[in-house]
Amino acid sequence: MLFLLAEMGDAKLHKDTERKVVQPAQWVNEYGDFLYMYAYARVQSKEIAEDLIQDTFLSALKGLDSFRGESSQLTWITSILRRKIIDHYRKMSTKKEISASRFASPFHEEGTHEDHWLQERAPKDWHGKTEDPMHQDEFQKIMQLCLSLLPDKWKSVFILKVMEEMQSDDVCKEIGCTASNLWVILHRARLQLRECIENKWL
Amino acid sequence: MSKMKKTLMKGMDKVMLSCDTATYLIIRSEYGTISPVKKMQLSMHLAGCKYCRRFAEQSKYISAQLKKIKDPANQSVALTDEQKEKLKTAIDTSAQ
Repeated sequence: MLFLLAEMGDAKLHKDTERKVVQPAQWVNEYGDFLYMYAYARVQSKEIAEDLIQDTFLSALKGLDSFRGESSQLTWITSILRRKIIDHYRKMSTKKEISASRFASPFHEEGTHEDHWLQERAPKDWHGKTEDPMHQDEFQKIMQLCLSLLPDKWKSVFILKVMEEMQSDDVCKEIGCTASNLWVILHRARLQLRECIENKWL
Repeated sequence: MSKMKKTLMKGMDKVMLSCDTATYLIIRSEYGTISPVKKMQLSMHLAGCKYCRRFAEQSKYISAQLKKIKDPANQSVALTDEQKEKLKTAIDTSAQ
């Protein structure tokens, strides 16, 4: 679980809570917001994030005996949440998706320009907007919105591979995909994400 | 078109990447590795393709922002008091 510590990024918060163990009645006050933000970043829905952390607390309560204090209590609870997030996407991606084939390629599908950018959908000049920190909050909000608009299966692969930094094999085990399939999905997801951001942001 | 020119064009097609493949390789190289040959083909393509250069640049920025938002410390959402009460009740009920 070591990588999880690095993943959480906030080293200070981790240090402060390293050896802290609090009673379940205090969990919501101590860990609630952290877990909520962790989940929200990965599911882009406040409702789902709330459900996931409720499940997490209840599972932690049931598994209280299995906590050995080898990691901080927060790290332990976060690893339970992480498992809940993976399960969430596993369930989501096994659902039959009617719109799975709606990907409209931004490339010419035939002719002399086959597989080259369609003029009207090629990346536009972002005019240095990325260099201005003023725009960053807005960019992140739009990016989260665009992430939430990805087809379920793509979103599942994308979040687990990119946000959770899982190995491709592990992602495929959960979601049910092949290695080459995974790269095709990531490619399409990134094409759609980029275009969605551009349309809403510029 | 002469036969030689045709053969030459065919050969070029094999070396020159399409934008579809170039963008695929950009994404793939970010999360994994690509072969040295593919890497060279990609830089050749990028040298001549403004749109794919933009795609690569924008991808870098998107990836950096994705890294930022996955850190809970950079999220600005918080539980409301109402949500907290609900969660506490759920824990209390389950603990009994």
